Amino acid sequence: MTAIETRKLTKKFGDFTANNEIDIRVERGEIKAVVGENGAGKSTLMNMLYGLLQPSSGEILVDGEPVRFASPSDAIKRGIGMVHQHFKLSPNLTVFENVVLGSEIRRAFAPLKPLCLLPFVRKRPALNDKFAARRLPLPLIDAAAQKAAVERTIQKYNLGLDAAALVKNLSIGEKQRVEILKMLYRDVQILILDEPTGVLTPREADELISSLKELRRGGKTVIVITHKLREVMDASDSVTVIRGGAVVGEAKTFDTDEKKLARMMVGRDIERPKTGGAPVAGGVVYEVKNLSVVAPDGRKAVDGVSFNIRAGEILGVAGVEGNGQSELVKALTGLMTVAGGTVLKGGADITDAWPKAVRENKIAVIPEDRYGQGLCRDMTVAQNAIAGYHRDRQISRFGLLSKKAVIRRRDGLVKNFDVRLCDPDGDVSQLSGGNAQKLIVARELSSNPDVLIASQPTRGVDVGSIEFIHKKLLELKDAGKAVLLVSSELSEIMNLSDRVIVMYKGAVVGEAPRGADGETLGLMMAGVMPGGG
Amino acid sequence: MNNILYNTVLFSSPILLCTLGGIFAYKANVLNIALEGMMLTAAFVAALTVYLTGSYLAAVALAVGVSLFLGVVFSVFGVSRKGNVIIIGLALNLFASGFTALILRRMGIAKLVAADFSLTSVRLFSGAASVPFLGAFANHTLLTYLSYALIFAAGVLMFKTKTGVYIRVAGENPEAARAVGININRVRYAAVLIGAAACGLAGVSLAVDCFGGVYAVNMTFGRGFIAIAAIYCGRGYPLKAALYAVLFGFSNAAAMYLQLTSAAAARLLTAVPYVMIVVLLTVASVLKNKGNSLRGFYNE
Amino acid sequence: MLKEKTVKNIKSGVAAFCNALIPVLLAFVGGALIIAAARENPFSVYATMLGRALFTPDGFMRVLHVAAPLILTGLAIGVTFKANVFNMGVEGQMLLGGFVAGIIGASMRGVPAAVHIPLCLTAAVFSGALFALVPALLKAYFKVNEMVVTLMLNYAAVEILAFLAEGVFRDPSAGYVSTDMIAGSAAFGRLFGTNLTAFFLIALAAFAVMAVVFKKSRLGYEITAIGKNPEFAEAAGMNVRKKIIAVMLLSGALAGLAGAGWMLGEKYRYTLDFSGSPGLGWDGMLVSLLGSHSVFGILIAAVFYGALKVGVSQAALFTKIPNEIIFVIQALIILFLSVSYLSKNVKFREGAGRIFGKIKGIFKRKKGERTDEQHTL
Repeated sequence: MTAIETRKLTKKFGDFTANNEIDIRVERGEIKAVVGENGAGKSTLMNMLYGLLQPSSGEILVDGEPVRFASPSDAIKRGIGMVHQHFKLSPNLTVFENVVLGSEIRRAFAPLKPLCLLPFVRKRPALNDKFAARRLPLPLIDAAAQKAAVERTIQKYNLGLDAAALVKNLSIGEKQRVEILKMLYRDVQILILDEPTGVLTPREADELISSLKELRRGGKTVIVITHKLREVMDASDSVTVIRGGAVVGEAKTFDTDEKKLARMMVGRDIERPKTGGAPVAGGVVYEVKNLSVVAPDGRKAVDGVSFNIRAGEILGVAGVEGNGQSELVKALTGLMTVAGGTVLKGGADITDAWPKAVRENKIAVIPEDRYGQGLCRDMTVAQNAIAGYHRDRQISRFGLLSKKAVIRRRDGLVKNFDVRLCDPDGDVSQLSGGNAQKLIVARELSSNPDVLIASQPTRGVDVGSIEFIHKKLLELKDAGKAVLLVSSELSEIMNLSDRVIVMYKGAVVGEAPRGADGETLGLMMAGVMPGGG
Repeated sequence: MNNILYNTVLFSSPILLCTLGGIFAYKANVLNIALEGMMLTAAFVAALTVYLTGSYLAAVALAVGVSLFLGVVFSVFGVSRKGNVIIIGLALNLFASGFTALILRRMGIAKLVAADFSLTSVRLFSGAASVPFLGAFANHTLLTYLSYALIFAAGVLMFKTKTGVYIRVAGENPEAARAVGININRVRYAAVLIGAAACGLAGVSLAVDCFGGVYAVNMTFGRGFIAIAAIYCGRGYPLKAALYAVLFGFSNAAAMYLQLTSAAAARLLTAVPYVMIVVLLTVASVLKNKGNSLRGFYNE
Repeated sequence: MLKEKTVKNIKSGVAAFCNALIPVLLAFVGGALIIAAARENPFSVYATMLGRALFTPDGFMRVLHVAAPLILTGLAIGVTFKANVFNMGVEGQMLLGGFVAGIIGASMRGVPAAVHIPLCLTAAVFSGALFALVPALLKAYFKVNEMVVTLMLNYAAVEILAFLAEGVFRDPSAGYVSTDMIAGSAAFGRLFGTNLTAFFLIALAAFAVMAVVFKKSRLGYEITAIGKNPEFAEAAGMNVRKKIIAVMLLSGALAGLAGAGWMLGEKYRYTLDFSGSPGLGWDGMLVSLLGSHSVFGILIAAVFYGALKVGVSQAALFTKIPNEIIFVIQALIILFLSVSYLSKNVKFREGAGRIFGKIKGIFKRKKGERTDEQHTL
């Protein structure tokens, strides 16, 4: 029995075809994995199934009937729910307010209820019920009834949430459960999850997978979009692979393996990044001692972190997102003030240095938020190419910029780092994620830094660009520079780093040498110390 | 002293109305700086109506109607067409002040005074006016009392109704609302229009209740912006924002009282409330940003 | 390649021009309705306005003279808007500059003009900048909303200056509230017997300096970056705090200069309606919006708006249309300017940039929300 099916589903944005004649079938009660690279068109497809986008042509069938969704509420009415990668929750509302949002329970007032007290009415149950049931809705929300209803759903699916908690106080895993709860509360039969494990610890991810299996047992259909093949193998019943907006392969999970799927996803074999030569025992270039950072909400986001990096070394910082890595990088790059501790570069104290001073100390930065701190979408490629280095003497003199030098800088970066542009004079917003990231890497590495602080350098980037960026990081290391690599992709950390430290709740909970196994690191990331701590 | 207190109660009323209406747009993340222009237009319409008809009720109805019309214009440009709301707000403020001045000029007068109109018939509890202290709270119009009752009404609307929840979600995370099929634009329209209606009442309160049916060019004199400052200081919470509004009403009343006693410095005293608002905003902002370890500025 | 680029430039130029022209036309239609409601013939009123302002040599020189302070206040607003800082206090800073120039102009006697005029201008520039420093520091160090603060300080400035003009500095011989008339040595003379004064040349010089700042300088680059994405600007080491202060000082200085020039070249004494209505600072806002915050746009818009002002004052003499109509037309222009009618780069919007924004929502909450569904006509 097919739960949902698409026929020649196509979505075009102008000249660009995001989805091209996609045929996909999901059977009722199965877990379907949809895999593909970033930008392959998975999200577009799911957004059409959920009514966020409307197809250019082709059709969607639910339970064999063609449907048209003008908005997500239409999809929900047909029993399709979606959990997005970026949570769509309102932080200052409670769990139950978020869950019932859009279908609030209003207080009602039963004007005829007093009549039920009359003996005449009480003797006649039919009449009694009729009077009690005649209710006039009031404009006020019935918070108690909402909370009770949500609590019932929490119990039914065993989600372990506090309905009255404010969403902003929840952990990431809990927030994701609220998103799932939101859909279950609406009684959906088909649940779509977009990259659900990206922000979870390995343990939370395992828990999620087992609750998805639980839902399947309860008769629900689950569609998971992911690029993590291990989870596909663990969780799904069948897999569909999408590349370049088209379906390139389909299989039952037990018929395939990670390697086959990877080849289908990329269209060729993936080269594993070669780790650089044996660690060079250079001198310590960069040192952080007992660093603490207090977040704006008063939480100690970074708590007494110490580490050092030697010349020719890549130090990996592993950890589930939200354990203080962002704040650590912000403090090191001058975007947050330091509450305590010191930072030394080549022996000089640069604690609390502003971003300008950080660069003057030959520290280059690949920031976490590509379009927040790294690039400005609405400025030209050339303007972005000099950002942070616009004070260089070749670029500007006496406060005036040399247009020629700026263009020369841009052309140099674009050429040496293979940044692909449609329009060299256009804005950065024309660039794909991978090319935009390459532009940042180009800008920062071309400044000939002693130290590189790279945060999530390959997030949301296509495989080709990932390989390229990894190669560049290793080249930098081989040139005797120090690299701090912060990433929530464990495989990236393990492949590139000479040493790994693991952050959990703002503190460094462990250090592992090159070649440590993923399982040990995974446990540390969840706050479990090796040796049963 | 009783006089200052009475005037505080009275002159806080228009600012209070404006503030309480404005918090909804603030919470929906639509900065409505046209509060000033809406109030000014409403004041003009209210004064004109009592001048022509002598009817208080008609003044309320027409003032609210015109203010709502401006609210619709604001929303069409700012919400539907996604124009820059600050620029739209400025345009409406300018329009209000220009258009009303234009009509006054055509009428050939510098100031509109409804000389025949008397407030005595619409004032409540007039008998208690001479009671010490308590008298300051008597002899006001229903609208003045209503403006204080609205503090609680606004709280209920904001926190206990669907509309209020949607407005807050639209401001905090519009994606959350959109994902469950809530029409964000409709919610934003509602937020702006609630503010517009309240500004309509504020105009009546200012032109009729405070000045007895008078319209002078630019008579709001920044009260709409003061309401915005009160909203900022109170971060959109009805009770907190209302306290700031009343504080300004008090300084307004005190300045008026002092002007009577020291004529020479009168002009200087009228500047005090504006400076006070700047000081209050600064204090509120310092408190809000205390312990903020993030460097730099972020687009709101 | 080159040809393609030229075509693109022309296309975006045409779009920018239309985006300025359409609101103006719509506003004139709105104005015509109001004029018609006042039982005047809108066509003859507009004809009078145009004819008297633009098609007589005297009128045109007068237009340029009136445009001089508008160029300066337009630039004053433009430079802050570009940095996404809202200095609504240009009006107050301009008034203060004018007042200071008027007082210095009146209180010193027997000084040569070559000393007197620069002294007045310098003092005005400094006082305008100093007044702008207050909101600048509050914004930079305490993140106080600069828009509300500058608006409040405008009201305060109007009252305090009125207090001074009524009291200490009042000219007892004048029948209305006014300061003393400035000395002859402080007044700009007319150039070649036209309506123009040296003030226009000063405004042009300031314009040239600002053109370099906007187009060529590092500061201009940094201002653009701050305006488009302050987080990015900070991360790129631009020290946004210092730049905000710099921008506000620059804006205040230009506003002060505008006030001084208007004082020494037109008004000669400070009165309560020194800046007219709606006020030169507010006119500057319109000029900057109309010129879409680009220097050359501001220059053209200032002249256009100067013509409108001269035309309306002429029309007020010859028809029954009061001066206040200009208010309404100005408000309508600003209102219609708030939305764009033609996209600058139609191709791009349909193209890849939009898709990446829309589908993936990679770029974050704050920006994504507005960009993803901007309407184009």
